[in-house]
Formats: sequence, C-alpha cells, structure tokens
Amino acid sequence: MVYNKYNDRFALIRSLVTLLSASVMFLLSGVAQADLEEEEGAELAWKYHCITCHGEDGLADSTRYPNIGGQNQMYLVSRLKYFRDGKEAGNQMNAQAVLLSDEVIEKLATYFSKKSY
Amino acid sequence: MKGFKIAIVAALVGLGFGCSSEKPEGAALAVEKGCVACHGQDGKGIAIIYPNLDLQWEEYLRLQLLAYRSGKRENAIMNGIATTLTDEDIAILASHYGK
Repeated sequence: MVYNKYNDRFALIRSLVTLLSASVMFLLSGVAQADLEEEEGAELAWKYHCITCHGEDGLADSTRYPNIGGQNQMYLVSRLKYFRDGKEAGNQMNAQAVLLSDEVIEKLATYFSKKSY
Repeated sequence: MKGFKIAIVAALVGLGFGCSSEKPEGAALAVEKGCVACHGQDGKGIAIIYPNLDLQWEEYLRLQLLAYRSGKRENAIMNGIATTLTDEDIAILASHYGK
C-alpha cells in the first residue's frame, strides 16, 4: 500500500501529540511571561522604595499607610499620577511618584494589584 | 425555674445584640451617605477605578476621609461627600469598612 496521509493510521495520534505539545509550550510561555512580569514588578517595587512603607506584598507596616496589595489596578495608577502631579502638597508620596514614568506606574500598579497577603 | 433561666439568658443575649449595634449602624450610614454606590456594601469597589476599602486599615480610611473633608486630598466626588460627614460619621464609616 502506498503511503499517503489518508491511509496513515497513526495520523490522528501524531496530530494529537503535536497539538498537545503545542499547548504545553503555549502554557509554559504564558507562565514564563507571568514570572518575568512578577520579577520585574518586584525589582521596581524595591528600586522605587514602595516596599519600605507598603511592604513586599502590599501590606503596610503602619496603619497610617495604605495597604495596596490586591487594590484595584486602575485606582493605583490614578493615585500614583495624582501624587506625581503634586496635587496634595506635603504628601510624602510626591517625591516618590515624581520619579516614575507612565510605564513604571502601570507596572507597579499591576504588580501590587495582583498581590495578596 | 428552668424557663426563668432561659428567659434570663435570652434577655442577656438580646442585650448583647442591642449593645453591639456598631455593625448595623455602619452599614446603614454607608447607605445613607452614598458610600455603597461606588464602594459596595462590603467595601469591594464596583469598578476598578474605585478603591477596595475592605482591605484597608481603619485608621488610614479615617485619615483619608478627614483629608477629603478639609480639601487636603482632592477628588471631585469624595470632597463633596466628605463635607456631609461629622467626626463621628467618619469614625463609624472607617470602622465599618476598614480593619
């Protein structure tokens, strides 16, 4: 019998294996991407001194400071931009936020919004 | 006699509930002042532009409400709402939502 793709009894198995391995690779790349984001977020949170008051997981070490772990991402973005714009004179966040680009603000907000404690 | 004891226990339990009226008062005030419209009854923001309050320190919430009322913290919605709050209202609401 001449080989062709229509009479190959292993065709189904082969395509299933291909599909399975593709799915696994896709999932792994997703996990790797999430890990990278998490790692970058942690570095930024340390670099910009967020964790000094708000803790590594966003649980503040004093009740005068807000918990930001698990807070809504868009709220955190608006809050950082508010401080960067200097809207609240005398707030100690102003000097921190003035150093942040839009991109860094997005990343920090995403990082802490996904945290829980 | 047994019935009398039960009546006393029931009365004490009732008294206990009566005294710990902080929960219902906070919940009622949160409705009256419009907090629930954006922050929900349980402190979960109804949209991601609004903060969750359930994860927040009571003291931080109290300080923020005071700052909104004095105008130190600027927000078009919250400044107006905070001016309707007394110190006592602020303490009750912070306790209701915060931890």
